[in-house]
Amino acid sequence: MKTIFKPFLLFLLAFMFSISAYSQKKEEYHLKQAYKTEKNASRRFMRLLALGEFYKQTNLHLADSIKNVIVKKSIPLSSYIQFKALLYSAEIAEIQGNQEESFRNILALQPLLSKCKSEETQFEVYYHLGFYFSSSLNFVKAKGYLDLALNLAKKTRNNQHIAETYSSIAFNFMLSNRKDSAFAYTDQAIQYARRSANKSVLAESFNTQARIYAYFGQIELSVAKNYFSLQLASSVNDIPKMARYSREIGKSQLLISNLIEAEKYFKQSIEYSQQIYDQHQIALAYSNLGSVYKEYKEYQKAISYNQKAIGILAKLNDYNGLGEAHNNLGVIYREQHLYELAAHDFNKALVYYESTNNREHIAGVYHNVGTVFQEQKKYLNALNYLNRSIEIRNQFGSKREIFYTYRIIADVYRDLGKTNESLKYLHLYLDFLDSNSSIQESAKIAELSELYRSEQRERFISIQADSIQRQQQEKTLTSTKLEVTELKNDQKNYIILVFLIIIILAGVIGFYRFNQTVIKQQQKEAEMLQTLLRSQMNPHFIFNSMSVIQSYIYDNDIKNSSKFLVNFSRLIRLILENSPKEFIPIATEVEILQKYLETQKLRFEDRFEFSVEIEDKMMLENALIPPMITQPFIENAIEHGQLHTIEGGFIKIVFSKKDKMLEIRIKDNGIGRKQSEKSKKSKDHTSMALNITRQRIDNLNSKYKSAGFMIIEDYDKTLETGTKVLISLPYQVDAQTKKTN
Amino acid sequence: MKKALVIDDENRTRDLIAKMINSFGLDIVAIPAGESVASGIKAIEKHRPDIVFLDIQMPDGTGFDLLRSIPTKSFEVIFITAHEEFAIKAIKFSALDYILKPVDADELKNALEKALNSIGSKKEESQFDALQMNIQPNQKRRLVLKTQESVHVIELDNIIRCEADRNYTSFYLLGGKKILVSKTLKDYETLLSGHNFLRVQQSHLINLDYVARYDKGNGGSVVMKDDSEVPLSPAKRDIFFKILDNLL
Repeated sequence: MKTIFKPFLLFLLAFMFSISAYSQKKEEYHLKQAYKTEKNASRRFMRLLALGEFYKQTNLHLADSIKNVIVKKSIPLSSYIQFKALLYSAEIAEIQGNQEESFRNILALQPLLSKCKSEETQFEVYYHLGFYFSSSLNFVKAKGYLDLALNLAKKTRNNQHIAETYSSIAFNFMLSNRKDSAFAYTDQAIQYARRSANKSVLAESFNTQARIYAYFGQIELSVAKNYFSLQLASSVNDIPKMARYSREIGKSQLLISNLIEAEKYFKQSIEYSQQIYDQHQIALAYSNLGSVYKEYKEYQKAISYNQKAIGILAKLNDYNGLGEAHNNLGVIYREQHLYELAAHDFNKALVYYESTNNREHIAGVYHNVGTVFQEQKKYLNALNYLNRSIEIRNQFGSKREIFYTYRIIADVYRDLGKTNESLKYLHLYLDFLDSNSSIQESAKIAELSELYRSEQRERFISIQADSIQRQQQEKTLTSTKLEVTELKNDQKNYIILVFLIIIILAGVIGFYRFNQTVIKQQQKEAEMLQTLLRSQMNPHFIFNSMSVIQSYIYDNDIKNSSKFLVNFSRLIRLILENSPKEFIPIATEVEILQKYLETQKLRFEDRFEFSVEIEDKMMLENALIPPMITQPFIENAIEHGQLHTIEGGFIKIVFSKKDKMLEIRIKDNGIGRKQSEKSKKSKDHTSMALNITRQRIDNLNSKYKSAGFMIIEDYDKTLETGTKVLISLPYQVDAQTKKTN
Repeated sequence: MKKALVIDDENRTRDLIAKMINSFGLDIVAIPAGESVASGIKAIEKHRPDIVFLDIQMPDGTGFDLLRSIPTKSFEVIFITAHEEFAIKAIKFSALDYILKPVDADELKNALEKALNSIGSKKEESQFDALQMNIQPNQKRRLVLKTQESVHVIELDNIIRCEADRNYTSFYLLGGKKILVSKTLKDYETLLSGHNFLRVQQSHLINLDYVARYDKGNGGSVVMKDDSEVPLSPAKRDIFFKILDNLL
C-alpha cells in the first residue's frame, strides 16, 4: 500500500508544482506579448514595467537584467515615466543589497518631484527619502519625510501606503532607540495593513514588529511575530517575503542557540530564494549558515559558507552583507584562536561597513576586535576598541549591545588586576541584566559564577542569578502568554469592536424608535384634538347659526339678533378656550352646554326644551370633566333626532358621582336611533362622533387605569324612540382646590 | 308669475331666503315650504314650482335624496348649503348651481336670474344622473359641460386636454371631439386639479394620463397621445416632471 502511495504523492506534488509553474509561465507570456504588441512608447514602457514588477516577485535575475532597459527607455519619455524607472531600479538595488545604488536612485527622484506633482509620486519620493535618511541614521530628517508621506497617504486614503509608512516610522524610532514609539507605530501599521486587506502588507507590518522585538532583545516574541508574517506571506505565495522572513527566523533561532531550527530556516530561505533567483538572500543565508556551523564547531564548513557568500555579495556590491560575512569569518577565526586571520577579516568588515557608514555594525566589529585583543592579552588595545564601540553605540545604535561590551571590559580589568574598575563595569553589566531579559543571560551568569570563585561574590552572584532567573522565567512565561494573547487579542479586539458597534447602533435605533413613538403619540394626540375641535366647532352648525343671525337682522329684530350673536360668540370663545384642555371644571362645562343648547334652541325657534342638572357636591368639590364630552350626543339628538319636529321634544343632561366615577346621562325623546339611521348622512356623522367619544374614554382609561365606559340605548324601548346615553369616567378633582380645602 | 320653493330644515333660514327673493321684484314668487326631505317632496308635488332652493343637509336625509325620488324634474334646482365641501364639488362637476349660507343677496339674485333664463329649456336628466354619480365616493367623476345646444356628460378619462379661448374653454376629447364651453379655464383648473390634470401653461390644462412625451425643442413642449403639442411654461417645468416621475 505504502509503496504505491508514496510515488503517487510525489507525482501529485510534482503535478501541482508544474501547474503553478505553468500558470506563471502563462502570465509571463501574456505580459511579454502585451509589451511587444504595444506601439505607443509610454504605454509600451508601462507594460515593460509591469513585466519588471512580475519578475520582481518571480525571478530577480530577470528583474535585474531588464532594469537597465527600463532606465534607458524612460529617458526620452515623460518625467513620470523617468520617475517610475528610477523607483524601479532603486527597489531592485535595495532588494539586492546594493545600498549605494539604491540611495543614488532615491536621491535622483528628488529633482523630479517638481515635475510630477501627482500625490502618488510625491508619496513615493517622500517615503523613499524617509527610508534613505533613516538608513543613514538621520532620524529627524527621516521622520520629517515620513510624516509628509504619511499625510499624503492619509489624504489619498491608501491604507497600504499608510501601513507601509507607519512601519517605516516605527523602524526609524527603533533605530533611534525609542522603543515605545516604535511599538506604537507598528501597531498603527498593523491596523492599517488590516484595513488594506492586503496580506503581503500585513505580513510586512508584522515583520516590522518582529524586527523591532529582535532589536530590543525580545527574541521569542520576534520569532512568534515572524512565524505569523511567514504564514501570511505563504498564504499569498509571496516568495521574496517568505525567503526574507525565513532567514530572519533562522537568525533569531541562532541567537537563542536553537541551532537545528536555525539551520532548517536558513536552508528553507535558500530554497525560496532559489525559486526567484534571489542571489542576495542566498548569499546572506549562506553567511548565516556559516554562523550555525561555527556553533557546531564545523569551522571548515563555516568558513566555506561565508566565502561563498562573500563571492556572491561582491558581485552584487552589497557592502553591508560583505561586512557581515567578513565579521562572521573574523569571529570564526577568533574562536579558533587564529588571531591574525581574524584581525584581517575584521578589518575588511570595518572597511565595508565604513563605506556604507553603518555605525551600529562598525561598533559591533570594534567590539569583536576588542575581544581579539583581549584574548591576545593586548589589554590596552582591547580597551581602546571596546571603548570606541561603546562610544559609537552611545551615540547610535542598540544600547543593549553596549552591555556585552561592559562585560568584556570587566574581564579585561580583572585580567589587568584592576578589581575596582572590573567591579564597576560588572555592575553596569548587572544593572542591564536586572532591567532586561535575554535568553543568553542565564548562561552568562553560570560563567560569571565560575569566574568569581570568592565565596562572598559567589553568593552575591547566585542571589542575583536567582532573581534574574526568576525574573526571566516570569518574563518568558508572560511573554509566551503575551504572544498567545496578542495573537488572540487582535481577534478579540475586533469582536469587542463589533459588539460595541452593535450596542451603539441598538442604542441609536432604540432612541430613534422611542422618539418616533413619542412623536407618533404626540401626532395622534394633535390629530385627535383637531378632530375633536372640528366635531365641537362643526362648521355646519356655525354657518347655520350665522344664517339664523342673518335672518334676525333681515327682520330688523335687533334684540334677538344681538342676543343670538352674543350667545353664539360666547359659545365659540368657550370652545376655543377649553377644547385643547384635558380637563375643565364642571361649572365651565355646564356653561358651555347651556350656551350650546340655547344657540341650538334659538336656531330651531324654541321648539324643544332642555335641562342640565348637576349635584351641588360636585360643584363644591370642583369636579373636573373632559371638555364637551357630551356634545356629540346632544348634537345628534337635536339635528338627527329631529327634536324640533316632535311635540314636547326635550333633552336632559345629568352629571352625578357614583363610587369613584363621574356619571353623565343624556336623555332625549327624539325619533330614535332606528328611525334616524335610515338617513345615511346622519349615520356617518353619528358614528364619527361616537368614535371620537369612545377614543377619548379609552385614552382616559389607559391614563388613569380606570374602567370608564359608554352605553347607548333607546329612551322608549317599546316604541324604539328617543336615546339614552350613559357615560362613566374617572372622577377627577382640581388638585389646587383640594389643597386649599 | 313663476314659483320658487325654498326647502330648508331651519324655519328662520327658509323664511329669510323666501323674503329675500320676493324683495328682488322679479317675475317670481318664493314660498317657504318643507323642512325635511319628506315634506319637501310633498311641497313640490303640491306647488309644481319652476325653481327649487334645496338645502343639502336635512334631518331625514339630503337634498340629493329628495331629487332621486322625483323621477321627472320639471324645475331648476339651486342648492343651499352651510358647509359641505364634498357636495359642493359634486354640484360643480355637474354644472349645477348653489348658494352658501349665510346668503349673499347678490349671489342669490345672480343664481335666480340664471335659473329664470333656463326655465322652459329642455331639462336634462343626464345632468342629475351625473350629480348622483358624483356624490358617491370612489366613483369615476363625470363632468357636465353645458353648451347652447346641449348638455354633455363626460367621464374625466375621456378628456385629453383643455385650451383657453378668452372666456371660453375648448375641451379636446378622445376620438377627436371638441367641445366649447362658456366658462374660463381657471374654473376648470380648480375643479379638475386633484384629478390628474395640470395647467402646463397659461392657456393649457392637460390630462396627465395622456402625455405621450416631452419635446425639448421650442423651449419645451408636451406632446399628447393624440399628437397635439402643448407648450410647457418654464414655471411649470419642475412640477410637471415631478408629477411625471411619480407616474412612471
